[in-house]
Amino acid sequence: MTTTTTPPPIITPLPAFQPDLYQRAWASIPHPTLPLLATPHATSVTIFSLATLSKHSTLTGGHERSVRTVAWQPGARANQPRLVTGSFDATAGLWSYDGSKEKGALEKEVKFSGKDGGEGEEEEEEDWEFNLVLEGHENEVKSVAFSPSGQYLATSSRDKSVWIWEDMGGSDDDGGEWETVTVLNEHEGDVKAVAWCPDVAGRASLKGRYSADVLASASYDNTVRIWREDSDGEWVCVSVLEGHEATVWGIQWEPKPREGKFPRLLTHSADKTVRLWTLRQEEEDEVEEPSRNPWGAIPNTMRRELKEEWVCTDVFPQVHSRDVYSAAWSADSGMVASAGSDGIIALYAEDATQQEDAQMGQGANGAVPPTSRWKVLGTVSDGHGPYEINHITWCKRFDPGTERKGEEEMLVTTGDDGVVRPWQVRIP
Amino acid sequence: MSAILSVDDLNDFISPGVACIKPIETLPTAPPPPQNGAADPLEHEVVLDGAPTSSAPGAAAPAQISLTDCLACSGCVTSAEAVLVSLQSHNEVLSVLDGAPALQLQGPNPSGTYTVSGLENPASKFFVASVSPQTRASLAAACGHGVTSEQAGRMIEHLFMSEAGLAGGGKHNNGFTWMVDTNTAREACLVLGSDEVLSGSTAKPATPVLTSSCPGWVCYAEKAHPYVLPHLSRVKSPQALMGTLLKTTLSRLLGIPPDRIWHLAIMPCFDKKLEASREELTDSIWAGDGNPGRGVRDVDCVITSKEILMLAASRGIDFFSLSKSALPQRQPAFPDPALHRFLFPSSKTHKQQRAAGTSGGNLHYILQDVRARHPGSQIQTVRGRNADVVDYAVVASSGETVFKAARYYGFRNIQNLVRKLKPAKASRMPGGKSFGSAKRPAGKAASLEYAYVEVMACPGGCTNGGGQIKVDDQVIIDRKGLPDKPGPVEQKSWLAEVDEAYFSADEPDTAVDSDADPGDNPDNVDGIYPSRVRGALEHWSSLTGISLDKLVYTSYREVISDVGKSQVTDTERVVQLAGKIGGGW
Repeated sequence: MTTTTTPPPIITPLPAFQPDLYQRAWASIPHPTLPLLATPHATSVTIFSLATLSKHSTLTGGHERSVRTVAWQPGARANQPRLVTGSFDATAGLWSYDGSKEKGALEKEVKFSGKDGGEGEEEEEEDWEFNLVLEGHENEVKSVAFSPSGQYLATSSRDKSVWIWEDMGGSDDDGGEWETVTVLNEHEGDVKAVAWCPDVAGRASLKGRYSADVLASASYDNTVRIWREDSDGEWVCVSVLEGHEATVWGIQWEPKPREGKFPRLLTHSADKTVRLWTLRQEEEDEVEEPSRNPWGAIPNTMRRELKEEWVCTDVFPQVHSRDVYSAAWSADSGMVASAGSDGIIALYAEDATQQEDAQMGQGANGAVPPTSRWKVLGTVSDGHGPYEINHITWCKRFDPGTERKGEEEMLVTTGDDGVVRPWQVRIP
Repeated sequence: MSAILSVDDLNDFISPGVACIKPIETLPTAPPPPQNGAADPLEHEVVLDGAPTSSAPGAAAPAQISLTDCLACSGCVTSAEAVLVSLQSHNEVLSVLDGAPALQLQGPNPSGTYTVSGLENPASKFFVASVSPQTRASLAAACGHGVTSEQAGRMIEHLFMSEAGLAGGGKHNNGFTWMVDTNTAREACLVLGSDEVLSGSTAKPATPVLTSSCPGWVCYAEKAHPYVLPHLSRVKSPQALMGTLLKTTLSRLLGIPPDRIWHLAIMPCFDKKLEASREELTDSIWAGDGNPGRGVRDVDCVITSKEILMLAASRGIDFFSLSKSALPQRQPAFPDPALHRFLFPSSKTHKQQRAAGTSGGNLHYILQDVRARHPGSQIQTVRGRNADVVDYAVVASSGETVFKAARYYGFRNIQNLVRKLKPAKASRMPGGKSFGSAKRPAGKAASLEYAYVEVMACPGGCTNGGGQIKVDDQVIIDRKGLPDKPGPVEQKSWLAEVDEAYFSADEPDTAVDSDADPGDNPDNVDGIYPSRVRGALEHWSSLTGISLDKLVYTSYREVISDVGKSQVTDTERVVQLAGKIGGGW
């Protein structure tokens, strides 16, 4: 139930991406810049074109078991996108696509082209090359994510560990050279998701105590952990976020944090809630300046450890009746969308009515004090019929139905029915 | 790595998985082919959901899981690690000590031989123990107040051998007859290890030779990366070598079967318990048919540094108040004078060089040996991506690099090492690029130019082992007055204390400059005299009548597990079906 005064936004289903996959699909990840969407299903990944809303290419043959997660590699050349797949076969794979390659050049298996219908870019399905396998996890890989610069890749698995890999360079032909930077073993259960803090202002750590990259991981052990690299080059857990009462299925960092503030963390869980967590920043400043301490320097044994404190500052209004598998936070509008096992799609916005600083009066991006609340703007039931929705994401529109190509945002949901469906979101 | 049977959670250690390899291990030695295409009965041996499968033949024995089986397994269905660990724990020590009156050393007889008394009682054992230097360092740091490793060593001797310790209580007032320092065996392992790498013999392991004294590393390699097994050094670890030494010589000299000797080792980690239960380290090798088998173990029980405190406490002894001075009676003479000199050297063990690290110093010794063989050469060090990866090169005065080696400690670094050793997989698609971490066939292997790599599971070395006393143990928090939850800062300073105790083992600081050349004398490498060591080894072999190969070398075997592989077992089929119906997790 919304309490805003404006009528609810309209979430309208658009025609699903073609073709239907007829297999459970797990996620749809938009490319950061190109009009492409990657959807893993069974042991393959289908790449859809956002311009035509139909299949562009496929990645097959690299994995023996279910591919559950993909991540686009930042910094790759525009006509040579690269991505990483994470699979239940305990490996991660690096793939590259050569858009400039001639069609049909010395290719391997013959695949029936069928109705691929990919216009614009290449239609040849075999232009994705499997470059490299990253092995090491003991069992199913649940999530893969690149750091904003592309230097680090994080993978997480049911073996309770998070691995960080580093791209050591190496020639493109061979997929490069990757080394294990560290193996983080502190979770007590399956690690469902990893996410790097995006490269936004406010990400940098205080006083250079840590390097700039921050990693968050969500687990079956009901916690989220934050990891940072200290001055010795060691990755340490700087905080454990407790509060969820069941498996935390995923996390997302605030894509456009408030001025001067560290990005907040959005989490969603099997306990049917969506929560927001904020870093306590004031206290850190106190510790950093012992000279300001009127009692003199803080003795070594009592110095606060290199830890951070995160507090759950918001619990979104209850909408879901079952596990919330996915949530997405828009950088443009600041709205959050969630979806899950109950087939409900929900849309939330941060209530801007309780502002103290009147710096910028727009929507959810204004400087809002911690007492802000989130409101439900609207919901859709049975988004994929009786099927579970595994993933929801914001995505720029490039299809003919929009007048602002590359600017207007829509939602894309991915379900157990193998349907990848875009949704128009227009707030009247 | 192997099931790290540690009560603590530590960052760089590998935690157990869920799969059990037991079904594969129970393959009968002469497997009868399944009749009439019946399902392989072994698949049903370990039942995951409790309900016996209907087709399990009555002949299938109930699955029994012993510590030996779990040696290389990454986890257990029962997860009952507590049960497994308790088979080798301080409680086990106490219950064995209480089992029967100990065999007593008698002698020397007029002919100079020694015997034991008390054999009429079939349960009576002869008790010997060996202690690692890391344990002494850990306890010294726990004592604090400047207590040295040597003093801590004497406190341990009091605990195990004198009436102020275990011998003052229990059912039979049993104590240990001898307590030896594994440093002596370690020196032998260093010489053997260096000979193995630097000899031109074709019997040596594949290049690069990898240290094999760390059981965590060995078990992990056997299970997850069997392609590195040909690279592992065949030399036994100091614990294993000491075990073989004690059992072979004492059984011969005292005229008793090896199962009457009970050898306790005190080590810095839990994985040493797994090493002790290896079938490759039993008398099947040196008294049986020469193959690994379930014989009498060379080391019967391993307890960790931490468990010393628990052992003392169980008997109501306050470890920290034990005397730090030498035992009133010296240890009895070992029945063979040459071995006595080997086990109880009169001159203090040479001071450990810090550059050697706290994990035995295999690499350091080999580098020193190479340097001694190339007069005028220098050792160059390059740190890798973190403190646990270091590259070494011995460069001759001409500028030519004569030897390259490295140190890789910790799981994450071991990953990078094994990846480079992995052979290229055949390309899956004709004409396509080869998969796997090696891009070109044989291309990657060539880039790893090391002749030797010291591999250890624990970052920071054995003083940071899983069984050492930790900064967050209550006893340390109490004794040092630490805050309730010691953090990384306290952890680092604690480790520095333990390392300090390790390196300054003796009281008077005889400063040994590690750069000072002991003359470019190949017979004094880093304070150790290889010819003396080789002499002692030869003596050992002739005394026991067993060939040196069987005494000092060991072997490794790949652990075959079909868990996770493409061959679909019933369990996997069920999992796949469950996934299709609408489960999926």
